[in-house]
This record gives sequence, C-alpha cells and structure tokens, in this order.
Amino acid sequence: MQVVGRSVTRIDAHDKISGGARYSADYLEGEALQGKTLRSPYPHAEILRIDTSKAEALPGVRAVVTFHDAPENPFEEGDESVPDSPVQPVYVLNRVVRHVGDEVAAVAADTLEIAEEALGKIEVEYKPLPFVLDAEAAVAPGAPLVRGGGTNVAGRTPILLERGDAAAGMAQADLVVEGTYRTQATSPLSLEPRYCLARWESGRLTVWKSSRNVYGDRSRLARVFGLPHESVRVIGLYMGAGFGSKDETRLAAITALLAQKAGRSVRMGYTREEELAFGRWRHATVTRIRMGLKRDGSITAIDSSSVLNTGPYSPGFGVGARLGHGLTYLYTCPNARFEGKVAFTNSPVAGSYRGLGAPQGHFALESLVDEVAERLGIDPLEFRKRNHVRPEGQPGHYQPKEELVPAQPIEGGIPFSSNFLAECLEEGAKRIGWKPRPHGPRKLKVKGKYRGMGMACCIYKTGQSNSSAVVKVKADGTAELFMSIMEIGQGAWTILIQIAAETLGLSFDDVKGVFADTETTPFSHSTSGSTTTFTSGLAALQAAEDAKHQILETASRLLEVDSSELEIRDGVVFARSDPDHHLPLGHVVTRRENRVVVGQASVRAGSKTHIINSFGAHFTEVEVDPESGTIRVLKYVAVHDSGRTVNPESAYGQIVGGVVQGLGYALMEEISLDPESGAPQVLNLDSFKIPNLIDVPAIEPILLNRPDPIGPYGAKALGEPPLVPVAAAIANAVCDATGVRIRELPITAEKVLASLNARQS
Amino acid sequence: MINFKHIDASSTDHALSVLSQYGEGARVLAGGQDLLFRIKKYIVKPECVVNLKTIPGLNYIRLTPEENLRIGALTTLSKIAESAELQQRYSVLAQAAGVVASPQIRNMGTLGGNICQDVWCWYLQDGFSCWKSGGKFCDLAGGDSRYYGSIMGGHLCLSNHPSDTAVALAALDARIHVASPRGERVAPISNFLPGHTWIDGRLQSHTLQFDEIVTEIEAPFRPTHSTYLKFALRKSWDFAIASVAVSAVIEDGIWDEVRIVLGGIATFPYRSLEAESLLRKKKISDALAGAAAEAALQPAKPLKMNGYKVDLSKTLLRRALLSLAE
Repeated sequence: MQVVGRSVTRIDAHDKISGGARYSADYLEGEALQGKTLRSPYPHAEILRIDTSKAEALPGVRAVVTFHDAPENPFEEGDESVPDSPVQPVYVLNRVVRHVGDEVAAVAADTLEIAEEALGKIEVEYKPLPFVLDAEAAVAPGAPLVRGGGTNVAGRTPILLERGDAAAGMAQADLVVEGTYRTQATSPLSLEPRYCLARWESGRLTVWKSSRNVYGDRSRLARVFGLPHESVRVIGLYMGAGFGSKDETRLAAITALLAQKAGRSVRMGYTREEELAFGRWRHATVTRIRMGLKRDGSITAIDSSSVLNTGPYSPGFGVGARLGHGLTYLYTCPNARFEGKVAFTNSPVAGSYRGLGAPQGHFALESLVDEVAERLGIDPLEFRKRNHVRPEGQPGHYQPKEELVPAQPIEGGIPFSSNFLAECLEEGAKRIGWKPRPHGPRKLKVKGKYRGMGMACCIYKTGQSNSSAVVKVKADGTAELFMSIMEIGQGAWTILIQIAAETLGLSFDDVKGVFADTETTPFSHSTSGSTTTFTSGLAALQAAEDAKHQILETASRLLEVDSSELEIRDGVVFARSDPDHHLPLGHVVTRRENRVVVGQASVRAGSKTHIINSFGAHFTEVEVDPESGTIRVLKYVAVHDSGRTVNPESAYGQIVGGVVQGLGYALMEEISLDPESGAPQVLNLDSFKIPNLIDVPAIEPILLNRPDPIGPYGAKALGEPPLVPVAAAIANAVCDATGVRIRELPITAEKVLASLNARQS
Repeated sequence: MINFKHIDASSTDHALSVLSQYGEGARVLAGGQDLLFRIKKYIVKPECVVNLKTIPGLNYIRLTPEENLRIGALTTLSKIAESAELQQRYSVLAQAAGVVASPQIRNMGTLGGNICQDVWCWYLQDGFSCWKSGGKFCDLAGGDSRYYGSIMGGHLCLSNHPSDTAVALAALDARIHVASPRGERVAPISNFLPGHTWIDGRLQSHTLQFDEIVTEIEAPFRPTHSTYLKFALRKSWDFAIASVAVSAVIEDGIWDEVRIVLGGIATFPYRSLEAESLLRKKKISDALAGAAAEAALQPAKPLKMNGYKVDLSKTLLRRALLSLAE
C-alpha cells in the first residue's frame, strides 16, 4: 500500500504547532456580544421568583434570558404516561434546577466584565428541594425524585443483559468468588474549554462550536427552536480535545437563545472551573460481580450488577450498556448476566467520557479475575489465556438475521471477524518479562520497596454507525473529501484522507479535506465510540471507489482498455498489462463533460455474521513505598489488536494518551462534592490531580497490525480501548507488590498505606 | 475579573506611600502567583495592586563567611533553587525553593511572596463560606481535610500553611525584615508566621499590617547539614501534604545543634523542640530517628480525614534525619 500504513504528517499538525489553528474560543466576530451563565447554588430547588430588571438596566447589557424565555420544545422529553409521577421534561432553561451549577439564567453584554457584573444583579428566590447526590442512595426506596417518574432509575427499568442462565450456572460452580468495586467521578478536562458563537440571520441560525457531532447539534437545535433542519447550520471548529464530554448542545442552545433575544451574535463559553465541574463527568459506579468456577478453572457463570451516577440529565444508557459488555463478554462463559441501573441524582451531569462505562466495568472484572486466579492457585496470565473469549465467540447458537450483528451483543454463537487477544497476551507478557505467580501476590522487596507486576485485558466494540462521504476529483488531478467527522485530536481527518488517497491512487498531499459543516458536508455519525476509522473509513473508501469507478469508465474509453484492466497510481491511470499505456488522472477528468468526478457513499457499517471488536492487553510493573504508600509506575506495556494500523504515529499517540488518562484515573483523579451543599469541592487544578509529564512512566505502545477482514484496509477501533484496562492493571500490580487489594479508585498512597497498616495490626 | 488600579512601585518608600494612601483596599504583588489567582476567584477584590517587582535592589542573595545569609524579598524562587552556594551551605532552602509548584511559577514567584501566601484550602477557593471569606465556620473540621487540613489544631481556620520555603526558613531561625512608614522591624519567623491571626480585621496567615512589606529575609543559623523532604501526590506542581526541614551542625557524627520543622501539617511551620532535644549531642541511629519522629508527631490531633499526614510526617522525618547521616 502507498498511503495507508504510513505515518504521514497529520494535516492539523502545522496549524496546531504554529498557533494558526482556530479553536472555538478563538472564533470571535467583532460584533459578537459576550455571554455568561448564572448557575444554581442549590443541588435541587424551584425558582419561586427571578427578577432580571437590575441586570437589564446595567449599561451594556443586551439580553437576559431565564426559563421564561425558554422555547416550549423540550431538550429532553418528559413522559406524562407514568401514573401519578410524570417524568419531567427538560427545557433549555428550567424552573427547577437539579444540580449545583445547573443553568439558571444567562446574560449577553458588550463585554465579559459587564456580563459578569450583571449576573450578580439577577435576583433569584429559590425554594430548596430535597436532593440526593449518591447513586446507590438515589435508587434506594424513599429517595427524593430527581426527575419524577416514580423512580430515579433512568428509563424506569434497569438495563438487563442475559446469556444462558446465571443462577443455574452458579449452582454448578465448585467455587464462587465475588467482589464489590467502586469507581470515582472524574472530569475529562479537555485542554480547550468549550465555546460557542451563535448568529441569527433572517430566521436562520448558524452556530460555530466545539462539536463532535455537527448533525446531532443541528437536529437538537432545530427541535428546540422549532425550525426545519435546513434552517440551522452548525460548523465544527478545531477542537482542543473532547474525550466525549463535548457531546452536549445545551451551551449552544442557551447562546442561541441569547442571540435571538439580543438580535446580535453572541459568544459564550465555559471557564476552566466550569469545564472541570460541569463539563460532563465520568460516571461514578459501584459494581458487584460474582463469578462461579469449576475446580479446573473454567467459568460456569458471571453475575454482575452496577449502579451508575448519571446526574439529572441525558441519562447514560450507553455508558451502562458498555459497562456490561466487558463484564459479560471478555471471558468464555455460557451463563452471564448484567443488571445496570443508571441513576438520576443531583450531582453535576455525567456524560460521555472516553470508554464510557468500559473502564469502570473492566476495573471490576479484571480485578476480580486476579482474585479468582489467586483462589484457584493459577497464574493470572494463565487463567486469562485459558478463559478469554476465543475467535469463535461465546458459546451459543446464533441464527443470522437480516440486520447487522450488534457491536456489543450479549448472545453467544457469533464469531468475531478477528480476535487476536491471545496474541496480545503473548506479546505483552514477552515485552514486560512476565513472571508466573500461581501462588498469589509475590510481595517482592527490592531495596526496602515492594515491586510487583500486573496485567489486564480489554474487549471493546468497533463502532458501527451510519456515515457518508463525498469525493470530488478535479481536473487538476487532485481530490477533495467531504465528511462531517471532527478532528478531536485523534487524527481522524488525516486517516480518512489516507484511506481516500489510497483508494483513488493519489498521493496523500493530493487529497484535501472539507469537514464538519452541515451546509457543505454530508451526514456522519458523531465522532465518538471508536467508530470513525471503521465506519467513516468505509464511507471514505466507498466514496473514493465510486469516484475511481467513474474515472476508470472514462479512461477505459480513452485508452480503449477494459476498465478492469486499469489501475491508478500516483495520479496516473494505466493499463496493468502495459504501464506505458497511460493517461494523467486530470486528463481523464477534463475529458468528461462536467469536468469533474463526484463519488459518494452512504454506509451502515457492520456485518450480519460477525462481531467486530477490538482487543488489548496491558502489562505494568510498579514499585510501592511501604512507608508512604506511594506508587511508582516503573514500566508500562500496552498491546492492542485494532486491525491494520492506518497511521502508526497517530495510533501510538492514541495508545500513550489513553494510558496516561488511565493512569490519572487509576492513581489520582477524583472530583468530589460537599455532601451538605452538593457543591463541587474541586474547582482548580491544584486540587484536581491529573498526572504531570514527570509523573508518567515510559509507555511502550504495541500494535499487532493484523488486518481485520471487514474494516477499511483491515482497520478496527483504537480510540477508546487504551484507557480501558489501565486501572485494573495498576490495581493488580499493586496487589502483587504488597498483597493489598484496593477495590476502590483512585488507588492513592493514602489508601495503600492504610491497607498495609491494617494488615500489620 | 474585577477592575483595579495597577501601580508599579519605584522604591520601597513609593510602595509604602501608595499602601498608606489606599489603606486596606490595596494589595501588594511580589510575583503574582498567589494574588492573581485570588483576584480571579473573587477571594480578594483590591482597588489597587501595587507591583513591588519594579523596586530595584530587592533581588539578591548575600552570602559571606562573616555575615548571616541575607536574601532580598524579591529574589525569585528559581534563583534560590539554582544558587550553587545555597545548594552547598543552605541546601534545605535551595531544595525547598526548587520543589515549589512548577518551573514557570518558580520563575515568577519570589521568596517574600512565597512566605506571605495565603492558604489554598479548597473550601476557600471554591466559594464556601469560611472564616477567611467572612463567614464563621471551617469546613475542614468535619469535611474533607486530606490535602489542606492541619493536624496540629489551629485558631478558627484549620488550613495548613502552604509554603515550602517558610518551613526551610524556620529551620534556619530566619528573621523577616519588614518596612513600614514607621520604619523597619525585624520579626523572628515564628512571630511572623504564628498561625492564622486577625490583622486589621482580616484573618491572615502572616502578621503583616496593610501598610507593611517584607524587604529581606535573614538566616542566622549556619548548618553543616540540612535537607528538605516534601511529599505531594504529584512530582511537580503540587502542594505538600507533608514536608520536613531539618538543619543541623554535625561534627564527627555528633549532632551539636539541630532544627526540625514540619510543613503541610499545621497553620504555621511547625517546629518540634521535643524531637530536637532528643537528638542534641547524640549520634543518629535508626532507633533515634524513629524516636524523634514519634516525639515530633506525638502532639498531633488529626481531623476526621487527614490521619494519613501523621504517618507520612513520621516517615519523612525519619528519612530526613537518616539522610543527613549518610
């Protein structure tokens, strides 16, 4: 291959390094007003009275909006049908506020300073309502209801995943091992705080924003403002990372509301504090697992349940489902069950964050698996080698259907399109120098410090969605690719162009991209869920094939060679049997009546017969200071089966970045609420600990680079998986080093020391 | 951010006259790493900010064999950390200055500013009502005290003094030179940083009055050996959860003079005379270091969530003492 598989320089690199890239905060029209949001000091309250007259009287204030101004179309639908307890809808602004920091009102003014001053002049009388911050408390009987509906379980029933009969499987077990694992809320903390600029012109709304889903934003804005989709244009700008958390349209809707009322463009964004506290957290979870085993180490049943704290809005059903996927699918087992309760609470909103529920679920499962191995007297790597899910899939019988196999199935009997987890384990063990430990933690001491090794695996869906692409080949022999995918920092634009260029037979530099503008680029799924390379890669490939097909038809007439005999390379069309018999690509295009070739494709990616999943195995060595509990990560090896690698440098960056985020999650990050007021306690980067560069060990990223038969050029998902197994690998290494099992994230020095001291006494 | 007047002081006298003129509405800026954050967070709302960095002649390290060490208040933390002479003769101070926050902050932050910084307690930062923000409550007593809470009690506010260098300076018997319209006064660091104190109606971490500024820090104690150990959750850009400064005159293995000061655990640099007395005229051993650590932490009364600081401080002190014997 000419372009795919090469580390071409990313198309965003120059802009970003030179400072030329324009992010959402840089996008400022001269005329735009500055917006600021007033946020609730209460975790749950009804607004009895709100008086904005003093704010409006302040010179330079151009508009103030409250729930009185909110469009009548809800942001999230309610449900009137629930007897005696309707599910309350959510509007752009609401009479009831449901978390500290919930949006109460917003001001647009000539300057940010005036807008801030005006916020202080809005008089609000609140009636505080009973509130609940903790997810387990929220789903217990008698808890205050966050959204009505008679229960705080979002969707009113738990997510249930079931294969076989877990109870029957448990009854066959010689040994049942169980554990409860807790994970904390944390903030994705994108480098770029999100901003948005909204402009109305003759009843049409244009929004420039930090977006990972321009069509999703457009559809939500159109619905809320009661407009046809075509009257809303959303343009995505360079994104200083999203990690999923910018998957919201509320900021844009409030900004648009202000702009509508002011009759002027308005720009509004989050401060660093707002981004940290209200920028959509990772769900805090509690997971209980029971695993039934035969004496030979085979698994008879896995029974698990989780409660997830989703805050009051946009319930994370996908987060719950992804949590359950790993729990039920990573190990071969005929009987598996998962029950997930996504709990509404009065905590700030949790949303999408890289990996959704998978890091939480894998922390629980992969910690428990080490505990199981210890109980059975089997080396934890050996246990995984024996039990991990095989290429043929989970046991069961599957009748292929008309529709595609889901990306996260629960039923068995469906083979994977490719599954090189065994090879990941082999390679990782070799690189780290794995020492079998069939007798449990080794508690090795080297110079007064404990040393240990740990590992964990992961399974992750390769996203299957709808996407489309348009490829235009011009008379100068260059091409343009039109797609609505965002560059969220992962390198998507570059690899989509690589795939199109490879297919067209053009050099990378001869294909340009036009991305993420609903006016000019065709529909794509949101840039999320480890979907882009696979789904949109296929769309780019098929659109390029469509264009290529048209080019070869024309060339076939010109060269008088059957089109099946023709090939394009480096911008030249030639006959395979006689390479001297050729025409420049541009020449072929100019000989067409319209002087242009437009290829297009719409795909629903996936397979009717196979599951398309990615796999990984992480290995680490840590050192623990027994007198302070401090954990130092000495080595980290991350091996991934993500199909063929389209751009190795970008892919390595994805792995290293994911592992660093995972290390922060495992060891230090934690965002907590004051239990009495519901207010976030951590609003600054001195107390919200993320790893600094100096805290990060050398990370060795390894890609197996084994092509998948279905993905574009054999590629599968890579975006999220590198974060998924990190916390469990660290917990297992700490346990090997010290003998202490920490079942609650983050694994701080304090917890380790307390556990060591407790063991001594 | 609020609007305020910004005045570049041309001399100490100029700064003092501006301070007198604005009264409590003025704040001094000696590097800004503490002050600007508090202004942006609306914790302080000055009418006027007096920039001291434009005053010539307050940026020096004076180190002669005859005289006490003298450091100008506007000397940057990087300059102190990088001084070869300080590293050699006052390593406790050079080390402490070198582990403050990040290189960028050390390049801007000054010694005078560092010892005069206010507490970083997250309840204060995040807008909770507390003694420092005009309320009558300290959330650290029953709340989350893991990072910012004292284990040695305190007056009203229970947040620990966050400075690294103040702990090192206390182990050098430092004296703080203060200028005011009434002339110069010199305060021992224990008087300068006595824990939270009401001054001019404000609950402060230091005893500077509104019309006073620090001009010089003098260190009379001349250790032969000294060290600063800091424990933080990250290797850089983090406050101490616990720290320890030890300086000593050791001859032929005998500890003639010793100063032991704990940081991150009290509302002021916490000197332990009990631990010091155990070591005087002794040779260090594992057992003695352990006994000194026990003695130093014996008075500790941790809050609900910061008992970890007790264990940690013992470990740090034991290690610091033993490291000086190597």
